[in-house]
Amino acid sequence: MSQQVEDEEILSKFREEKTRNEAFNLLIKKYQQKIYWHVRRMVINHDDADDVAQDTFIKVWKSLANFRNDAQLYTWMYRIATNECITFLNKKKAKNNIPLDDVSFELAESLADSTYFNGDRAQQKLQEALLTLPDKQRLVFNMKYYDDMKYEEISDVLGTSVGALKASFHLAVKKIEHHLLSND
Amino acid sequence: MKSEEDDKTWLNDYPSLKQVAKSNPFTVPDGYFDELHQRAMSRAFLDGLNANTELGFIVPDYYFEEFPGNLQSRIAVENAFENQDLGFTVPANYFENMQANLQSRINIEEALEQTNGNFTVPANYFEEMQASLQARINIEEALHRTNGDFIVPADFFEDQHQQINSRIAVEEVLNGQHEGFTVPENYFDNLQKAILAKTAKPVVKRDAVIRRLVTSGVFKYAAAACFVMAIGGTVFFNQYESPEAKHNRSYIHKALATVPDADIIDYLQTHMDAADTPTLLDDASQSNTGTLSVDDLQKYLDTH
Repeated sequence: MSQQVEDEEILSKFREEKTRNEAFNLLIKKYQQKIYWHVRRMVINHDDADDVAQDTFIKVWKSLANFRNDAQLYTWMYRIATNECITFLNKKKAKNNIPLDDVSFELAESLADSTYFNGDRAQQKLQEALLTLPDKQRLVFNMKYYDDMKYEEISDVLGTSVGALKASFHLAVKKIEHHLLSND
Repeated sequence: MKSEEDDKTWLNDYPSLKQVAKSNPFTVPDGYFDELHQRAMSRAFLDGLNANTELGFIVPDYYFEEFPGNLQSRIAVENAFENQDLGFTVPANYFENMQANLQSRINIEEALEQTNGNFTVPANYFEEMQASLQARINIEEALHRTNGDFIVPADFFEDQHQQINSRIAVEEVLNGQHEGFTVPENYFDNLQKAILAKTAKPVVKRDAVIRRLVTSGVFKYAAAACFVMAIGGTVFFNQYESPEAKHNRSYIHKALATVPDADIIDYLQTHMDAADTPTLLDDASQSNTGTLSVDDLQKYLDTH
């Protein structure tokens, strides 16, 4: 409830010209980590995540004046971040002219060499298993497993029905379990 | 009733996944989130500035609207320079007809050179030309000889007619000058009367006041004494004045003083005769020739 109030306060301040910067500053401080980790789990590399997260906030700055209260500010920003992630991954694929599977392999390699990854072997294997999934399944799994988001919220972010999301999530879990068992 | 999200029993079906720690395995650099919102804010403002000002660069009004037209003009100019047209044009088919036109011009020039331009001369003109020229030369020489070796200024005869006309015009002007002025009728008849009338005016006589300058009788004796002294002084100085001083004061001396001696000698040699010698000697005796003797003078005159 308090979060909702704060969102309303941020939006109210943003509508005023003299408090717009203050409102945006509050918005970034409140959601920067959630947005960053959502992006980071998708692009794996910290520097890439940093760029995509900043791009996400730029889009939020440009579009916040047109934000409608029929959606939660949180899910709205997640949708923007998700679109930025997908755009980034598609550009990466087009830039290197390599198949998406090879992109996943490259991301797995960067995960192994990443300075900013301190997970254990099981966590690393889980990330490698996630990289074998399609982007949309990975998104559903991440938001469900790590962010504990409701299917309705994920539906708002991805624009997919709750039933489809449930099927996608369970399919993703089966693939991950299979991957973890097969590599043991 | 537990919600779906709170129910983690589904993990029991996936034991491998259940064993993986749910904690976030990813890390970020120290202080990353402290700087993230600052960098995000900066980027947002920078992006806003870029959207509004296009990185601060501006273009003139309607630049992009006019850009295609300007570009087309530039291309046309460049093409013109490349073709070296430079804006000059030639009539249609100029270069195609140029060779034929030049050939026609050459033919005309050659035809003119070969013919005499359809001009003709009298029969035997060139045969008689030398004789005619010689005759003309003889006539000119004869005319020049009739001048009696007198010469006149250059273009004298050419200007003579004009000078005569100018002289006639001047004479006519001078002769008619007084006729251009008129006087009132009977002016001269009345002129004498008018003058006489002015001069015949009665003279106003005024009674003059006569005043005696000196009333004393002493003035009479003083005036008589001065008169006697003036006469006496004159006689006294004339009596004791030398002949040379008298001669120097004479008219003949003053008149001849400005005449050079050479002119006097020439005059005497031309106009003197023997009869003048005694007179000259008499005059010499009265002149400043005291150092010469009469014999010397006689001898000089006889020899000269």
